[in-house]
Amino acid sequence: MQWNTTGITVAGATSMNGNTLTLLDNPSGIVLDSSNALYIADTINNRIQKYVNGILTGTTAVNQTSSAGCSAAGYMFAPLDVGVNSNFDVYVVDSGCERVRLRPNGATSSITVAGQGK
Amino acid sequence: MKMNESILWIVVSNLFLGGLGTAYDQFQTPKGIAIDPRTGTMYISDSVNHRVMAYAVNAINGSLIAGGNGPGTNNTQLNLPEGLCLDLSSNSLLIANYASNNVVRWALGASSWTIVVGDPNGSSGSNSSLLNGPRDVILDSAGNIYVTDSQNHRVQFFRPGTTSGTTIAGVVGVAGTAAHELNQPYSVALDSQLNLYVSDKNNHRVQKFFRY
Repeated sequence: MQWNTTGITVAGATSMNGNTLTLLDNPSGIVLDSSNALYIADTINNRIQKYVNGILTGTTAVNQTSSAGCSAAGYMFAPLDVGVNSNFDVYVVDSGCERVRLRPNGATSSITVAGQGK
Repeated sequence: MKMNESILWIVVSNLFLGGLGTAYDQFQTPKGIAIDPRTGTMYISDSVNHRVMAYAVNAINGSLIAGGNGPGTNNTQLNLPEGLCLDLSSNSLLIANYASNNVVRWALGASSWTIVVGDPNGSSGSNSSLLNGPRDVILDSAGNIYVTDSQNHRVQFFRPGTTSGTTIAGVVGVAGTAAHELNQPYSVALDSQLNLYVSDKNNHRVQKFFRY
């Protein structure tokens, strides 16, 4: 098995951190779902970005719905990893708030599924 | 008055960081997640607690699966565990031990790990059998192992049961911005054609390397 050692950029722009839909800021954990959609823990932007079909403009799969801090259910801080299951539910390791969050497929808010942090 | 104030502070700080701690419903910087497709159970690397916790669906408390014996290099300890993956064929977790520069296998229900790649005694290095700050590990269906060797700025590939790897992305020891370079690669994933995806953290991009 061999891989081409020249990579192509499928998300973000080299050396350009930012918070638009074409940029990332310290991307950490990544995962692909069964349709090969790419999910990225966009850590400094406190969001999970999703990229499909080689398009360099992403969408926000898990956004913040509150800016009130970890005590608010809709907040997340410095997510470092992301998971997805066969139902396309998205798991977020909300590292800065000491918890793991779940954004069910089609939902507009998340619930805490591990860790006491509110 | 002073005693009441300190108790109030503990209560208030716990309201805001209620999840911070060592209890089985708490974490200290959770870093990685793997989901068991058979049950929905989440395996979470609880890095500063040097352990991996398992949370069943709807569980309030996790169960201790690996580590939890402080940071270290003996085979009952983990050392800032980060990325992890579930090997269904052997019912075990592969765990990237960031601070011990190795990847270990911890069977579900076991009380110790066996070494997969890197130095079991925790030394870092940049040759084909050593790692420096591994942050993630994944498997393909043939049991090949892929490791983001972050401080060496490369992705290492290991055939099952081998401890000498080949570099499939990045240039060892070179932090760069070119298309064939990486700078602190963090996480790795494979698509259905076994093309390789790498989050190239310091370059603020995700790179795809085509398999041929």
